[in-house]
Amino acid sequence: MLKKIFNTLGLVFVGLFLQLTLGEMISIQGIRPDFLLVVVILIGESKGKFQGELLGFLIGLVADGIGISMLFGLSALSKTIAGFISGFLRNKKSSMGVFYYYFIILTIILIHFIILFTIYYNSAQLELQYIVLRYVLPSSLYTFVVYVLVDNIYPRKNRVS
Amino acid sequence: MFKAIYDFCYDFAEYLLFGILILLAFILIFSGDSPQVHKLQGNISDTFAFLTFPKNFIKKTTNLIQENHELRRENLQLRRKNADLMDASKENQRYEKMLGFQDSIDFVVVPARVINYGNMSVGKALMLNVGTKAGIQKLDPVICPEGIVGKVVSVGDKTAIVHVFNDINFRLSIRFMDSRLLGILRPIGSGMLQVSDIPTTAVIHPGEQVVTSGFSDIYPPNIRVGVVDEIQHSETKNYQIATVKPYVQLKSLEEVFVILDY
Repeated sequence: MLKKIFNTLGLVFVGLFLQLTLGEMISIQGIRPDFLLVVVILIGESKGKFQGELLGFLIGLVADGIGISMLFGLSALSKTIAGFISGFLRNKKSSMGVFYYYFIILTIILIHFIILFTIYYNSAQLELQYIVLRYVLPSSLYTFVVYVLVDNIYPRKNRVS
Repeated sequence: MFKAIYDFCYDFAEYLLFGILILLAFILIFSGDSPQVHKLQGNISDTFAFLTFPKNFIKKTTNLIQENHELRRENLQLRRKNADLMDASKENQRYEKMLGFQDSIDFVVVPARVINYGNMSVGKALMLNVGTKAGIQKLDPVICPEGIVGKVVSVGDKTAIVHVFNDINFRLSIRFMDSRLLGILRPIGSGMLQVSDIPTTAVIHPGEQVVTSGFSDIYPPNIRVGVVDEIQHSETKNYQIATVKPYVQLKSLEEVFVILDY
């Protein structure tokens, strides 16, 4: 039990560390992958909806606390939803097939970024089309690539509760 | 009755928690101006500031040699300029006295180190290594020698979060230095800023300096902001739009000053 808690906390801190250390270094035209979202999805798909949404909320609060200057609580909102939806994928990968599974993951990432960017840029008088093409899609694809890499590197057996 | 409620809560715990968390998130978003929310944000930044240490260490070490060379070169140039400026300063003092001007801007500043910038996927925020213990308060303006940086939006004991000028939600009251025209500056992405709704009769030109207007309750007047890069006409030809290139490069910013009083 204790090992599982430390495993999860370790994953959260690794995600935070990577976001703060690499976030800016590997950004392309201001687009950076969301390592914290990857962590939330990994937790959600391995531990279920309850832990996914709870940790999604807490991780989102931390992200809001250290990286956002406006709309405190926005990352918490988007990551709670991402954690909750990814909880539906618990133990489903083998029955679903890899491509269908990854398609759902990409959809979760897209939903997360649509919520995040459309609310954040609401007051900036930008067109929705521009927000989606300039921010949502590139950020989603970049984060998805990171997710696929992590999913293939980080052994699944370590994550399944 | 209670057993039925308990059973319901037990069966739908995940969905109930989801609803509660979403509600909490919305409460936080809509209580953005509440001191409790700012305190919470300050505490979070205080708690997790240590995670920025490795990045800062690597950045500092790699930059040190290059910085040393640059500083030596700059030192030589500054020595030469210093002599010129001494003359200019004395001349300026004389003129000020003659015109009856007084040096009305006397900033009380606290130096701060930037320990984190723009690592999250949305929003642009600087984290500083000073907080309430150094006298920092919410809405204190933040500047650097090149010009305006932003304003403090939340403060912890040892850290502060700064809303920077290139964040999409940032607005700044400015004045064009030569034409004395006022405007509202906003970022447009790609590192550039924009002032729209300028009357067509106004004469502004590329290269004109843009400074803070002083009409804001937050920023003192005449802080350098940027320089006019391009003038365009709006689609209806009723207004002009000025694109402004900021003086401050946030990515390479290491030290700033927080203005406590002016």
